[in-house]
Amino acid sequence: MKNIACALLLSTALVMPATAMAKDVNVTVDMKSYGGPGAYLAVYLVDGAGQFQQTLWVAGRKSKYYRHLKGWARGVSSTGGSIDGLTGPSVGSGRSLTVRANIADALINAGYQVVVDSAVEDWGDRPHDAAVPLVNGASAGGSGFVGKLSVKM
Amino acid sequence: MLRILHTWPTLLAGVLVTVMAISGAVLSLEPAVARFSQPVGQTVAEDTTVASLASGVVAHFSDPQKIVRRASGQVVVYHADADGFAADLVNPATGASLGAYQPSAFFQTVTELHRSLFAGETGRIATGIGAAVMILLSVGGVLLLVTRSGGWRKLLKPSSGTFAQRLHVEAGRIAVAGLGILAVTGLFMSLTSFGLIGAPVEDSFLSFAESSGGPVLAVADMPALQKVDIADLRELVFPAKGDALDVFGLTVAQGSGFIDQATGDFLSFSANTPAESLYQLAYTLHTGQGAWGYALVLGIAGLSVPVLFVSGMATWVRRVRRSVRIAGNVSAGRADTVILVGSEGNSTWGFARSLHAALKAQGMVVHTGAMNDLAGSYPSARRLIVLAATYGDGDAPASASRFLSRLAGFSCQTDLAVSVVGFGDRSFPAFCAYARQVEGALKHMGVAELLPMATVDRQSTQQFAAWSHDLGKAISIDLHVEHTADLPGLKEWECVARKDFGQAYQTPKSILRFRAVQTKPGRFGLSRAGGPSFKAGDLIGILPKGSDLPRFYSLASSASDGFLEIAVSKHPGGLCSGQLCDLGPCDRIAGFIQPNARFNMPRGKAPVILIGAGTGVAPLVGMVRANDALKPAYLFAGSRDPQSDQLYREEIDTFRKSGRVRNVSYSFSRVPGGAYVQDALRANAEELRRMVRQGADIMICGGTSMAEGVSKALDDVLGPLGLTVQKLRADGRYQEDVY
Repeated sequence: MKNIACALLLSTALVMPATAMAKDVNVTVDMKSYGGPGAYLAVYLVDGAGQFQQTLWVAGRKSKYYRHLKGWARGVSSTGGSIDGLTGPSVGSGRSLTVRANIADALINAGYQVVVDSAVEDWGDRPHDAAVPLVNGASAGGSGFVGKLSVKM
Repeated sequence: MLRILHTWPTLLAGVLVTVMAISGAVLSLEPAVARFSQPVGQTVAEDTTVASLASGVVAHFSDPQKIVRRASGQVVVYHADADGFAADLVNPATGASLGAYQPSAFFQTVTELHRSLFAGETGRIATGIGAAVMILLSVGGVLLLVTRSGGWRKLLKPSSGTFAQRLHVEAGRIAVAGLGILAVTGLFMSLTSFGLIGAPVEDSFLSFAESSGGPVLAVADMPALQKVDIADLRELVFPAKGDALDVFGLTVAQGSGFIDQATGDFLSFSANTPAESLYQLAYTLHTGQGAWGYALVLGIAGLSVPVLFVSGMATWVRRVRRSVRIAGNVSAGRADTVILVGSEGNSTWGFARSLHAALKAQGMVVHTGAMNDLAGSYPSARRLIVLAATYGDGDAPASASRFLSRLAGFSCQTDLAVSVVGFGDRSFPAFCAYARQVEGALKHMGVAELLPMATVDRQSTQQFAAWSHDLGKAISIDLHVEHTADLPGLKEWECVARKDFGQAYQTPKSILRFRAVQTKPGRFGLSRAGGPSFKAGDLIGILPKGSDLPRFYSLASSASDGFLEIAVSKHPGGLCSGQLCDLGPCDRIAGFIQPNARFNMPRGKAPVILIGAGTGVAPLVGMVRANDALKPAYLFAGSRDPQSDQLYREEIDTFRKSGRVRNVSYSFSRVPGGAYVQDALRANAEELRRMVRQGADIMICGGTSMAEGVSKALDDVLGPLGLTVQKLRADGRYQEDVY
């Protein structure tokens, strides 16, 4: 089953109204069959220097566990930014998550990356589990719980 | 009220609680299984620190995620490798792997069932409610038992009632402490997980500890880890690999904190709040993690829940089924005769219905209602009949709980006369105490007395019939109340032998032996193996020809003897005893077995003192005959004359030789220098005191006056021990079968 998440991106200078200079981007996270409970995931954008830019999605209902998505949490805490409307359920072993985001043209093919942090109860935290350039058709494997991370637009 | 609080939650949530209890009982095996199925590794020196364990783990695993020390003492390392994630049990002394850690998928599934019924958050709410229901049922059950047995100090008294009732009480007694612990701790954990109590203040996920970013220190050298004893370790979470800013997360028995990768010192440490400590305590008490023996005890408590559920429902169904409807009930205002019923378990209603029908047949205009429904006045009534049971230690039964307070507002016309009948069980000290209280209150109000108060022991239909005969005389009608209370299936019994005694004193007595007649083939044409089951001291209700009213006789044999034996004393003009004493071989009677567990041979190894006179010796001899365990038994048997009416002489001699009875003392009242059985008790006072000190039970069977004499004699005998018959009775060590 796929979690089709329609992310509403709000109030960021980097995000333009859909009508002007922005694209719908589908980010798909395929999980490995690691065999544990559902994974908490943070899907976010970083710039070429690895600096946190923007949250695309957070999977997992209980915010008290968000601190385990360490790279993302560090970025959000330093940069600020709301995650209202950008959260959904955790993603089970072997399942996949698709995030649909509306992203400004200026960020595409411009050295920005989509990064996924993951954490699974008992099994550990994986900041920077997987990362791919924000380029149509890009995909990469993960080092932790993520099997494959891919971008389509 | 209490009973409603005990019944309704069960009807609503009984299945839920039962599912939780059974799954919990299964889970109670987990600590034992974990303890014995997986290696713990070598024991470590007491001063082994987390620093040394962690450095061993780092040496053996390329990418450890965290170290968890389980309550069982097992140490589990969660780690990543080229193939993904894995968990290994490790040797606490070296950090080396002992093999894969494989938590049982079965127990995980059952855990999920136990805490959320596979229904997520909704299920967790349901199980929380289940825990609350369990608390209600445990507390309510104890209070009901206290009320029923007549006080806290009598809580451990042997239970009485149907098999289901006794099973319910016994299972409850065994399990209530464990169930109470499980329910309270379960509810506590449930409320905590919903944040309703003791929720620690969640700091925002946006603020967290960070390392200083300097070069990473070897774990073995970290001061914070060097200070922690391995026994206190709960878990150590490693920083993400390659992330210099990440921290170690350390949770120990006393609290949790974060450690700087570069300095190895605590960045912060917060001790457990009282709520967290309480939660840990509740968790340990609830799961028994690390204490497999305790967990198994809890499991047994859990297993009692299905037993309690089924036996409780059986009792409830029986009560509902037996609730009585009165045919042709007239309104209270029009009735010339008003019957008020104070009943706990509905049996008294059965008597009321029979009485109602008999009075109606004599042309009376009768109203029957609960004592709680006492009207302000009964304008047309001439007679008020109160049938009152007693609950526990003299309390009002359920349908009379408000009677005495309503009585204050009752206005009694002068021509109304009252007859009070108390229903109870003579083995309770407060026999018919509530009925006496009611009678006193009515007398105090100046209500005229139609008949002196009567009592009915253990639903004796004979005693009730005797009272109703008096009632008929008092109101000049011919009243025959033949109350047949729930006659169980009648069986045919064939007389196989008889022995006669006592002809010399015009009080013929006979010992009669019967065998069950296999009248009908069983289902499917197969004959049923064996007859009904019974023990010496149980009763047989015999229906004499020409009457529907059963007469009860104590059984002098057990089913295992292969025959049913009774001793009958012929009463002049007695319908049933007359018929019985005329029985010859192959003659048949109709009867049913009524268990009388209270008057069976007590279980256990304690000695037993058996005291009987006349035909009352018979059931005691039956108990002796079945005393295969050869527990010390002392029989006191009384009769008139060894030449005439001494029952069982030869058999008792045989039993003495085989050790089934240790001592026998005979008393004869009609010989020169004769004595009663109570005199024999006084003469053997020293031996009796010795046996009572050893915990002896005392069983008495015979006529009322003999029982009174015995009770007085025993009070004298027991005085030096600081004991009384009353006290022994309250402890369930003094049982009478008196007629």
